[in-house]
Amino acid sequence: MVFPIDLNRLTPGFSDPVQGSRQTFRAILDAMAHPGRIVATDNNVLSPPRPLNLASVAVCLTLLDFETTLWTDLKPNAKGNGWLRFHCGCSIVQDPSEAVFALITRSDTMPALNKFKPGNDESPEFSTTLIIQTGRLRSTDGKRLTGPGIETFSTLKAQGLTKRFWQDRQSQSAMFPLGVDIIFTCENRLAALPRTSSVEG
Amino acid sequence: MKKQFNRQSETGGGRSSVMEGYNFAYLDEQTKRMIRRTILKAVAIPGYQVPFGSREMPLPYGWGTGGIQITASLIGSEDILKVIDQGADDTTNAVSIRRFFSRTAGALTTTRTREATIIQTRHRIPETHLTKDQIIVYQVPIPEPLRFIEPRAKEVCRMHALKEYGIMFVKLYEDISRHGRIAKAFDYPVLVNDRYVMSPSPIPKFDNPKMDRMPALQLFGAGREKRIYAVPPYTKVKSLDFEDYPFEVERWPHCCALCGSGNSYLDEIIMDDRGSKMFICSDTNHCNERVARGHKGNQEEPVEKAQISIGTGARKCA
Ligand SMILES: [Zn+2]
Repeated sequence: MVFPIDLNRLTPGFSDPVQGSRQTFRAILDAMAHPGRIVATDNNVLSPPRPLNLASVAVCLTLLDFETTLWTDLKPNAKGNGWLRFHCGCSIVQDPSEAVFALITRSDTMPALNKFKPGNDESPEFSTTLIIQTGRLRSTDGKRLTGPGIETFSTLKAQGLTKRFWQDRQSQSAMFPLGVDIIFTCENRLAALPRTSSVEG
Repeated sequence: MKKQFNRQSETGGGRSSVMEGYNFAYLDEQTKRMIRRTILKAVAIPGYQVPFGSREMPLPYGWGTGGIQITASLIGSEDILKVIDQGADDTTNAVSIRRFFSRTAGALTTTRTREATIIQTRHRIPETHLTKDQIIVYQVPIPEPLRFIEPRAKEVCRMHALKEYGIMFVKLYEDISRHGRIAKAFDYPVLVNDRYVMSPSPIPKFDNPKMDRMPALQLFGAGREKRIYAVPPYTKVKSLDFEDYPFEVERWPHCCALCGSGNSYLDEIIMDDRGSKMFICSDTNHCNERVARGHKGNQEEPVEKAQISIGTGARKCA
């Protein structure tokens, strides 16, 4: 069921959609090419409805459109869903296994990673990209990441991720080249954990 | 304050005013989003060719429409773009592409490898080591390394899926038994991150070792074939070989006639109708910079006979 969007209370998207999405894409690419690196999205003019954070909506505005499906952990009639549908033109799906993108605002109650699309042997790119909102993000300590994009190792701490999340992530590693790719967001900052990264600690 | 980057050079460098009546960087936003999603998946699956909905570009195929679409999805006014064609910054193709992005995206351009944030290339990797946070975009005519061995697309797809590359090694070994070595001098296949066999595009195999654990991000675009693939920074890239026939790059018995370089890729230039030849760096920026630093070649004595040998030993040059 599709809920109506309250147009009177809708806050705007990027003030300059062309440059806003270009700069955000470069930030996401930088993060994805350097797992664990924390980068800022330059879009402080955005005022998304709670609980969406600045980086999450910048990523959605940059990557989502009518060709992509989105699953969120918000209530179906939540303002956040309406905002994303309006600004991105994406359709919101009920089943995480049908989602090209997933937005998770509460990492402590998120579905297991195997509920999302891992891709298939011949098309590993048909996998879900998860945008997970976390508490504080920092790269001075935390999990130890190795793999493509990382010279020796990098560290990443994303507050609020559960033990079960990291166990799930561990079991995904064995599926490579299948698996989900993850973008962690906090305020206007983001870091990526593509399927290639090995996680320890 | 911004530095000046060849604003007045004859290669058309520098920032010209962005054209009105065009989308920024030419492509429409929907196309850019689709290409951007494809690039991110390519980075997440190193060496795997991700299909994408390639758009018509105002340049013929063979002019690097795949590379141009990638660059168009990245570039902005804070970028400094270098474009090379077989190592040279001044061919018609390279000049056109630089001008295209200068006019449609307001990007600065340069011929200096070190200054560039994005380097779009056809058939070479610069001699100057690429550094972290640079992006190199390769123009790719044929992205599928197994194409000439197994023409059935479905079968090729299956081989990549199952990492069944035996047929590739059989083909390379046939080369050895026939010619005494692997004959392929360009587009020499590599294994990326110990998983996917990948075409490095038609660069000379001389350039293959530069791809291994390169600090820069490597993106590959094939416009006609509608594929994008990538090698993230510091990723293992191994040229396929055999224990008894290890991979080797070509070496020349002489140095660059202009700058004296003894470890760059050399092009053979015919000097006169008697067939005398000269060897000069294919990377024009590398050569010019060496000459500017005072390095000299041996221009007076053209080499009589071209002889490219295979080996790993470096020679003593100026
Ligand atoms: Zn030279």
